[in-house]
Amino acid sequence: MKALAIILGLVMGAVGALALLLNNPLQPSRPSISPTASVYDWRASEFHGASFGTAGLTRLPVGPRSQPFVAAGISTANAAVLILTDADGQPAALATRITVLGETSDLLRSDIGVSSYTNIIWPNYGTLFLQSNENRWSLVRDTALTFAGIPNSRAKEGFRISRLAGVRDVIGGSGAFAKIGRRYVEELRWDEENPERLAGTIGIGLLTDEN
Amino acid sequence: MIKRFLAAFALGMVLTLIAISFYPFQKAPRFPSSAAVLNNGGREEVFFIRLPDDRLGNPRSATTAAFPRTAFASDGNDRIVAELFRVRDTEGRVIGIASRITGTVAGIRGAAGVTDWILVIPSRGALIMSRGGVPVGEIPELPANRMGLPAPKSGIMMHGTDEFSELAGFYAEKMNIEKVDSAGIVHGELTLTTRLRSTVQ
Repeated sequence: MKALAIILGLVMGAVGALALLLNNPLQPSRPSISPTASVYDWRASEFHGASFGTAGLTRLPVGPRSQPFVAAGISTANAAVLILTDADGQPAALATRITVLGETSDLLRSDIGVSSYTNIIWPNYGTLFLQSNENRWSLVRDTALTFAGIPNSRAKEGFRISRLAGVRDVIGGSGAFAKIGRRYVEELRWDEENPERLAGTIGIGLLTDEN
Repeated sequence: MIKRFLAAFALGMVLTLIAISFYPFQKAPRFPSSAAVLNNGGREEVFFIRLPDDRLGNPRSATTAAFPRTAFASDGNDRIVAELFRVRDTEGRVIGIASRITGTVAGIRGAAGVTDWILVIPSRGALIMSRGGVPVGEIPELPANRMGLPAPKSGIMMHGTDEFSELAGFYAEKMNIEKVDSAGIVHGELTLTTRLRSTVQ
């Protein structure tokens, strides 16, 4: 009976710790896209390397499989060509993106870091370089909750991955975008046309004191 | 009994949280830098892209399919092209990934060409470089002679992260074409030479 109480206590403690982790009250808040931002939906027309869904982030066999590059030096990275569409659904810009698994992830802080570097070109208008240190914890949390059979609508709403502050968002640009300070916020979702891949929405706004 | 249960509960919670804190996330192996010291101060590091082996995917499929025709000039000279590559060091090891966008943007005196590069070495950081682009914020003082790199095919390093975060300077790209085969595929080597120096005074 004593042994049963100890085993039960250990198991319940572990379950409690996992529940606390999934509902971490100290997890950093993540911004949503500002209504004043220029908003584009994006979808990858080409994708190569590791996919940073739950399987690629944690190496656990859940969700779409990750197929990393064979070369060890780039096994924690991926590269994509993105098509950005405007509010009317028309192609507005072309982008390349390189994403790398971060090396400072910490599950206790609900932080699974991914560094992404994006170069967007609006034909005959201008280019922008964007850099982001994303937190993809919400993807992992969503998978864990789905796995546990707990209703979770986060996947449909979009995963907020941008941080409030900390990195230089818009690095620079050319043409109409040269020298103008901006910041951007991004949300991810699973691509409806290709469930193995992520798609997203990106909001680019002017840099103000508020953001 | 209850005391034992509560003690085991607390222990189970603590042990689980400790185990979680040591979760083994994947890390990229680090390859040593092959940078050489320059006489005038600064460092030179050269990166190589072997074509067609190191090209990822087909750039044409991405750049023409979904775009309005007006995005491209009729002669094809200033169409936008997005390319992805594997990048090698001087010893031929694949150490990074690069993207290159070339296109035409609005300029003060009409249309202007731009070439943008993102070079990411997972274990070391990223180099963001451009011929035609301008960084936001303060631009570091750079030598007028572009640190010896040829002006027509060179640009500035706009930003660096991690190992490259306190460096500024220039890059130049050079294409050595060995042959163009019957399918129109270029065989050769694209060389990216970076000459950077510290921004720390």
